[in-house]
Order: sequence, then C-alpha cells, then structure tokens
Amino acid sequence: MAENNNAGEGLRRLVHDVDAVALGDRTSYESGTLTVSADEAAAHFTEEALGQVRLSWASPGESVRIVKILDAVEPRTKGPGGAGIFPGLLGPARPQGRGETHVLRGAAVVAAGFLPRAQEAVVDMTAPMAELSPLANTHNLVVEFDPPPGVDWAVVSAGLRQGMLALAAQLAGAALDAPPDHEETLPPLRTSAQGGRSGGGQDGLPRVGAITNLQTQGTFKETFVYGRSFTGALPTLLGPGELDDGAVVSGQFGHPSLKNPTYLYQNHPVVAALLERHGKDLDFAGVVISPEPVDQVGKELVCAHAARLCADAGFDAALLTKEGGGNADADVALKMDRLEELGIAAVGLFAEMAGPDGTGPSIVVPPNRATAMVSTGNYDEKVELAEVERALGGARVALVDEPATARMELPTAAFYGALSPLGWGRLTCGETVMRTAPS
Amino acid sequence: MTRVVHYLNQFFTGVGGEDAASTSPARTDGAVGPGRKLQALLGDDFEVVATVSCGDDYAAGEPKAVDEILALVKDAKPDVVVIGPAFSSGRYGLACGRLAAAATQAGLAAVAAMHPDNPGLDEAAGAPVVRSGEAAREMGPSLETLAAAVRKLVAGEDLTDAEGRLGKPARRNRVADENAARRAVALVLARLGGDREATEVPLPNFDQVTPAAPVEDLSQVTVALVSEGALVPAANPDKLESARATRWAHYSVEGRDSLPSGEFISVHGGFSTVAANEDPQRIVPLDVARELESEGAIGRLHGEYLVTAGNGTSVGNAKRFGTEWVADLRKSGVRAAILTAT
Amino acid sequence: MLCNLTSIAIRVGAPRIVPTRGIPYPTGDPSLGLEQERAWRRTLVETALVALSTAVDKPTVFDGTVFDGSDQSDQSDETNGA
Repeated sequence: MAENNNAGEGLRRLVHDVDAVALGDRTSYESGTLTVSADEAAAHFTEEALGQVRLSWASPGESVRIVKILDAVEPRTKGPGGAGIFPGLLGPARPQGRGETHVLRGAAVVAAGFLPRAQEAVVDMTAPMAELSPLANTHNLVVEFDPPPGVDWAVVSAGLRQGMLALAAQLAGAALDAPPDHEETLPPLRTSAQGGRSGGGQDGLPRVGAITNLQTQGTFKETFVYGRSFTGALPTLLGPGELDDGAVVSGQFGHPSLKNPTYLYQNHPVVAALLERHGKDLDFAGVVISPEPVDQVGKELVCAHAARLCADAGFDAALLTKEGGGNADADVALKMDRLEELGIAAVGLFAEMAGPDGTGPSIVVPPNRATAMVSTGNYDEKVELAEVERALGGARVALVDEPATARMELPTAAFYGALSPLGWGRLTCGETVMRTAPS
Repeated sequence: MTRVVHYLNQFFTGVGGEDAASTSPARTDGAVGPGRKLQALLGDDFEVVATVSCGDDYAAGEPKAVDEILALVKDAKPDVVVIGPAFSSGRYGLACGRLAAAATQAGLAAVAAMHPDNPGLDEAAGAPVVRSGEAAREMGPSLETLAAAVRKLVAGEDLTDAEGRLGKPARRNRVADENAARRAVALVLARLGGDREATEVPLPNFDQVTPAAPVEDLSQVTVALVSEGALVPAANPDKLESARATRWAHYSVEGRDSLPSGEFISVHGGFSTVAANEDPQRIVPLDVARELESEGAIGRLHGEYLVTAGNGTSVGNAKRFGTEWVADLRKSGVRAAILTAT
Repeated sequence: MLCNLTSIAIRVGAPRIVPTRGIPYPTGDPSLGLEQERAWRRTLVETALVALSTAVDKPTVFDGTVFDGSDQSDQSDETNGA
C-alpha cells in the first residue's frame, strides 16, 4: 500500500490526572477531581440486558474489596462522542493510533459480577494489594449489574462491554477542555520498508518489538481487535498508538492473576518499557498480536506466521506476552524457539506454578532452545487478606466459601492481574532478577 | 543459648548395625556419637540438648515414623533441628529428607546433610539440605559443612551454594525493584549483548518416567478410562474444583453404554466446555469403549472412571493423584488405563 | 495419554501418546457430523489400545490412520522465505 495510516504520525496523549473522585448530579472533571453522575453513567447500560446497574467508587486506601471483577477500562477519548476511540465497538472500525487522545489517568471503569466461565477475581483497596493488582492503585468506578431472568449471558456480556466503553469515553470527555497535566508522544511505527531493517534500526540500534498473544477460547474467553473476535485470525502488526486507542478490548474473564484487562492493553507495560528505551538502547519495532489457538495445529500455524512477520518487520529481538496458564505458555514457548531459530532473540514473560510451597517445577511448558525468561511470580503462593468494611461485585467469595468482607486466605492466582503476563507487576520469584540500566 | 536437637540413625547412635534397623524412635539427652563433634564445632553458643535416633528400616518404611520422630524432636524444644549426615545411605537419607520437610512445615528451623546423589534429597521438599561426603570416613569435613550451615540458618540467612546447599530452594514471591516489563527489556538487551545464559527462571528438569510393560493380550484384561477433563455428574456432587484441583473423583459407568448430555458436564475452567457438554463422550469415550468391550477387543471396561481437573494443577497434586489412581486401579485389578487430557 | 499438545506430553515423559484434535474435546471433533465423529473416536481409542500393547522405552507418539473424509493432513505447509 502506498500509504499506511499508521505511518508518519505518532500519537499524542493528553493526560489528565485524577486525584479525587465523587458521585454527584453532573459528570465533570475539575482540578483533578472527577465527579460522576450515576444516572448519566447508568444510561450507557441497556436495562433489558443488565437490569438497573449500580455505580460506586472504590478508591485506594478505602476498606473495600471488589470481587468477581470482569473487565477494567481506562477513561479515554479522542474528542466529543469518542471521535474514533475503541474502534469497531464504540467508534467506527478504522485504524487508529494517531492524532490526540485524552486520558484520565488514575481512574478505571470496572465491571464486577457474575458471568459464565468467569473465575473469582479479587482486589482489596488496602494493603497488601498495591503490588498485587493494578486496580489497587486506581480510583475504580465499579459497575454492578443484575440481569433480568432469561437473558442470554452473551447478550449480558456484550451489553456490559458496550456500556463500559461508552462510559469510559464519556468520562474522559469531561476533561476535553481542561489543560493536560502531561503530554506524551508516541513514535510512529516504522516498518522495514521505511528503513527499519534488522540491525539497521535508527542509529544502528537493535530493533526490538513485542509479540502479544491474545486469549481466543470462545464466548467469555476471547479478545476483540477492532471490534471483532480474534479467534481464527492470523497474526498482524500494530503500532503502539493503536493499543492506546482501544483497538484491543478484553472479553476474557478467567484466570484472574493472568488476565489482561482492556486497561492494560491501553497501557501495555511491555510496550511502555520498550518505548522508554526507544532511541537510547533500541529502536521500537512494533507489536505483533496473535491469537492463542487451543490446538497444536493452530498453534504451529500462528507461530509460523508470527515469526515470519517479525522477520519481515526487521525485528532483532522480541518480548513475548500471553494471557492464560499452561496452554498459553505452550504458544509462547513455541514462538520463542521458532524466533531463536531465525536468529531473533526472544524473551518470554512467565508466571510460575510452583505449588504453595514453591518447590514444584516452575513452568510445565518451557521453551526448548530459547532460555531467557522473566518470572512474574508464583501463582500458588497464599496471601492473607484482612476483613474489610464493604464489598462490591458479590456477597460471597465462592473460592473460600466466605462472605466477601471476611478475612480470608487466597492464592495469588485469585488477585486481579497479580502475575500480569503483560509485565505490569513487580512480583517475581526469580533469585536473580534483571536490573535496568540507568537512563 | 541455641538449643539443638540432633537426629541420627541406629548405627551412629551406637544402638546397633543392620540388626537394629527396625528399632523404633527413641530420645536421649545430650549429644551422642558424631553429635559430640558437632557440638564442638558449633561452640559454646549452641547446646545439643537431645539426640533422637531411629532404625533405618523403621524410619523409611513405617508410615507414621516421621510423625513419631518429629514428636520426640519437638518434646526437646529445639531452636534448630540438625539431621544426619546420611552420606549415601538410602534409607537413612529418605528418613532425613522427610524429617527435614516435616520439621520445616511445622515451623522449625531444620537442616539435613547427605550426599548429592542420595534419593532422600527429593523427599526434602524445599527444606534446607547441605552436601556431605559419600561415606562415614568423611564425617569430619561433612560435620564442618553442616555446622557452618546451622550457624547461618540460625542467623536467619538463606543457605546457598556457598554453604553446600543441595536441591532446589523454594520459589517464593517477592517484590522486585522494577516491573516485569522493564526487566524483560533489560534481559533482551543483555541477550542481544551476548549473554545467552541470563534468565530469571531456570529450565526445569522432569522426572524420568519408566514405561509400563505392554499388555500382552488386551482381551484378557480390565481397562479403565481416566481423565483430567473434569467431567462430573451435572450437580458436581463432590464439588470438583475448576482450577487448582486438590482432589479427584470417581463415577460409576456400570451398566451404561453412554454418557448423555445434560447428565454429565465438564467443570474445567481452562477451556470452553460447550463441546464437552454437548457430548460428554468428547471427554470420556464411554460409547466406543463399551463397543470395543462387547466385541472382545478388551476383556472388561472398569466399572468407574476417575477424574480430576487439569487446570493450573500444581505438579505436587498431580503426582499425588497419579499415585492414588494407580493404587485405586490396581486394587480393582485394572491392568491399563486410557487418560484423556485437555 | 490422549492429548492435543503432544510436545508437552513428550517433554514431561509420558511414554504412550496419542494425538487428539483439540483441547476442549480430546475424544471428539465437533467439525465432523455425529456419525463420523463417533467413528473417529473409535479409531482414536483403537489407536490407544495399540499403544497399550506396544513396548516403548521412551515417549512415543502413536498416530492413528488419517480418517477418511477429513480434510486435515499431517503435513503443515512450508511457508516461503523466513
């Protein structure tokens, strides 16, 4: 193609910090305080599918626990009405990732409640959670719902998703006229056609990109790209701004600690870490997204394509992320070995399943040849949570059969994003951990 | 004054040789045999207040032996439990490894010593074990290593390679200075720079599995169907977990030649169960197994299928299930099993 | 062991391995009609029986006959280039 929408122009993030939150008559953003009108917010959620939704704030430091957490979305917009944000779901399905995007940083819209195939996901807004979940550090606007009897759960899930994205865009819209607290510019994606060749990154820096595997296991366990389920797709290359604008939206509600909510696709930690070093130690080469097929033949197919895409895009190295447990590890391991065969250095992010006492083998499906792995912590290690004053999302925690506010002991596996395969967290069980060079 | 309780076998405590291998656990005050050398090496800040001994056969073979030994150890109120050295002695090593694991799990500081090839090492489950020589003639240097490790342990320090630590230390969660994403970038830059060894997760070694002998004549034997696909009766009466299973269940297929949709469901949390719930035989192939049984291709289909959920199952539990399944199936005269995995 | 991710089975040392068509349906194939699926399931279990009566000394994959009427082959396509 002669012109690639994503070439030539990067994205500018206009970041508005949220320091305080409230519920009120009108939705507004003023001097760091985000006020939400519950009625206006509820209007985004279809009553036929979701019943009367309830909105509450859960802020860091408050004695509140959120259970049955589904997806989390960062309030963002590109202009009045959304102007293209969340393409394919809220905005029209056109490539995004350039121009301006307003971000309400420090806030998240969070859905909590029952959906089939969802696994109990918990976050406390008090210690010891700060390092165990991204949501422990954001002001969370929690959306609870009660579908009327007889409604198809797929309709509920879709209605919830649509409502959350619309609400997220509306909230960010309240900050359109406010001067941003920070401005951040993302570089445009340069493919090898534009001079980014293997080993020939800008100033001879190595070209390093990411491969992000998206869970694609059917309804309630899938991921949407430009509004479409990514099941059955072949890997494709995205620029960093596309993730920012919500091109990838989560529809996956299992594996709480290994879950990639929309919030973390919008704020992709590995992409952010690569961009921090862009122009210094490396030339950022883009993000390849790939489905995670559930069969061996499918895995080999997407692996071959992803590896070829990386080679064509001039990757010298790739960081690999996934979503899910052992099955997802198989995809990462397969790709890592294939990349190393092609002479592309590979690093995978893995959570460990070493058992409650930490003595089991860490990873059941490690790569054979590629050996560089980062540990995001032990899934099985237990953590004790204190009693809390209130709970959102449900009345009981089925995992331990206790009231949701009670004191309880849970495996790290149950905390939302604790072992983040996208690299959000600082949990690890490596004896030696890597150190970043100073800027 | 740090109180030490020392565990030794029947030989090193002078009770007897092989003839005394069945002696049950016993406790004496103070240090005995090599324990005296250990006391000398540890010095005045430590006191070996008691020595617990047991015959190797009893210790390694009796199911309750470790509990009994641990009880005697606890009675002496130790600050630290010192176990062995067991050198290359297999039964002694097994006892030492198990005691180290049990003591550590009971919250006691404990360290054992044995030769790196001693099978007892696998029994220690992450509890500290340091290396000893191969045989009793190396008692001197082995006790020196052990004493040094005891000192470090009591000081609250981790035992590492430098102290002769054997086996894999437990993987424990902690908070790193930087998030995993940044560390991954650092790791890839190191790798590009030529360091191909750096990693935060070492590659695991898996057990060697010895294949069972083939069945000579299937038409003469009982075959069982087993699965980790979490297929259970619709009400999930035994509450099989959808992930991180801690148990397994068994359900009768006596008199059945099919598993009807709606009567059986999969509660596995690791994949879409829609296909399985449409036809449970996509997980446990009862229909064709019955057919093959009636045609004489197999002698008999076992009257139950065994099941668990293979979703985030810890290796420890998985091993235990496998061992228990073998015991259960053997008891029922089953000769072979077909395992369906998801 | 009937499973889809045969590389894992080999890695952990399972001695007798029979490949299946998908994780969510080890002894099924929803892409086939019911009759064909049952016939395929039978072939699969028959392969398992063959495996049980075969001596092995290391992880061995027992590939059943390719089922008639299926459009899957054992070969993956070679991609051009990389």
